[in-house]
Amino acid sequence: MAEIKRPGGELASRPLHFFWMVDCSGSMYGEKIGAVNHAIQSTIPEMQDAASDNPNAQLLIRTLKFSTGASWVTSTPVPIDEFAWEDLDAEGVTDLGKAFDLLSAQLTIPPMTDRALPPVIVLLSDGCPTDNYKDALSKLKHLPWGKKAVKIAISIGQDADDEVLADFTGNR
Amino acid sequence: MERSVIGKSVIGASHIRSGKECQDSFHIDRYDDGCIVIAVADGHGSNSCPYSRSGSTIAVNTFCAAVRSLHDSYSDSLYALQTYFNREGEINFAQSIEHEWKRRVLKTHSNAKREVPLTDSKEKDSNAIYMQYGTTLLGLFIAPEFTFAFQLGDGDIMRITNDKIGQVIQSDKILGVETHSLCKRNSWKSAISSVSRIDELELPTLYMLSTDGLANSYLNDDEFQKTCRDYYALIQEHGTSEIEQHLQEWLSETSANGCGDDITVVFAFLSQGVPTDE
Repeated sequence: MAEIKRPGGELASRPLHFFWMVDCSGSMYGEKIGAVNHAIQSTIPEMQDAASDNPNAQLLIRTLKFSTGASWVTSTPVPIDEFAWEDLDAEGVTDLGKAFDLLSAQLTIPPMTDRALPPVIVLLSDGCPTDNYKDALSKLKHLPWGKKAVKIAISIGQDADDEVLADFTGNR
Repeated sequence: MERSVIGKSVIGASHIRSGKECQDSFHIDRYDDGCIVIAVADGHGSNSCPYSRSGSTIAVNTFCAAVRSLHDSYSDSLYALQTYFNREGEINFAQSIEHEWKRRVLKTHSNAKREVPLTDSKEKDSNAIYMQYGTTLLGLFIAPEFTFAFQLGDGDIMRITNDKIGQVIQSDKILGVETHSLCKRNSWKSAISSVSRIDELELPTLYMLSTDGLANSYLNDDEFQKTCRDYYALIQEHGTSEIEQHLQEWLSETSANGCGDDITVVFAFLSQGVPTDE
């Protein structure tokens, strides 16, 4: 058998984009944002273990925060073994719609590719958005990757507005 | 025209880790008149499809048997067979594939004495049985002057010549991990097919049928196409027998460093010359 180099182009695992969407509005001040910071921090070792058990999927994390306006905490995808959580503060209103718009811009193709695994979006919020979030959510859900994304909502606090979160996940 | 066909299935790296078996199957048929039939299938492998390895085997056998039957019916005129495929590839032929696959699945399920799911009205739930065997199916019939390609679900049927590379059928790939499946109701409606003339001026020509584990292991479509071109060049240089000996190693490495899925590839290399028995 002749010695022949494996043919082919560059191999790559499939990217799995994971988005934390964190409500940093004034109503989240105190215990609520504390709980969120602690919860996310504590998931990191578990996610790292899961990633090392599945080397053929590349787990990439990004964080989006929203209060008065919305912005990326980490604008470029961070591999899970490099991801570190910095505690977020809470103040301002709840521009959930603006957050959905920022997210939509990242779920179009490009920058997403069609060989990625379905993205995961985790929304942590006590609800009560103060902007028109429905149009932005509808636009997100109509994107090809928006439809395929795994959407998880974590309701924060006993007084949370779960209707909005159910709207996001589609589970009623 | 010389025709040489080789193929290999390897279990995916992620399946090795999880203790699952390879869910892919392939089958090659060579006829006395030089025609060749190739079929490749990818069982879904999820927890709701525990028998999808069996489903993929049934799929490739069904395709090859259906084409054999048609070939024998039209043996006096392959031109008439070409016309049939052109007219009925996505209708009658696709319907017959779905029907026969489902018939064989029910028979297999019964023979294996597996649990029979029931509907609310306590009747046998055939659809629930089909789901357990869910699979894709890709097929290619190569006659002396034309090819017939058939696809239901993900995977790739590529055609490579000296100066061209492209998909024989433009499949409507679903984003993510879902795919069209033989197990669905009216799955024939998701089948796509195409008939093409073989241009001897473009020989040598390489056809590659692969499950999606191959393309998904590359950084992007450009890198996958580079792979196809590389295989074309290597087969030209070394011949299919030599390349066949390396496929187990190469495809296993591709899965391990790529998407981790099972990978199946079948190559059909057409070139000028006296047909050889391979």
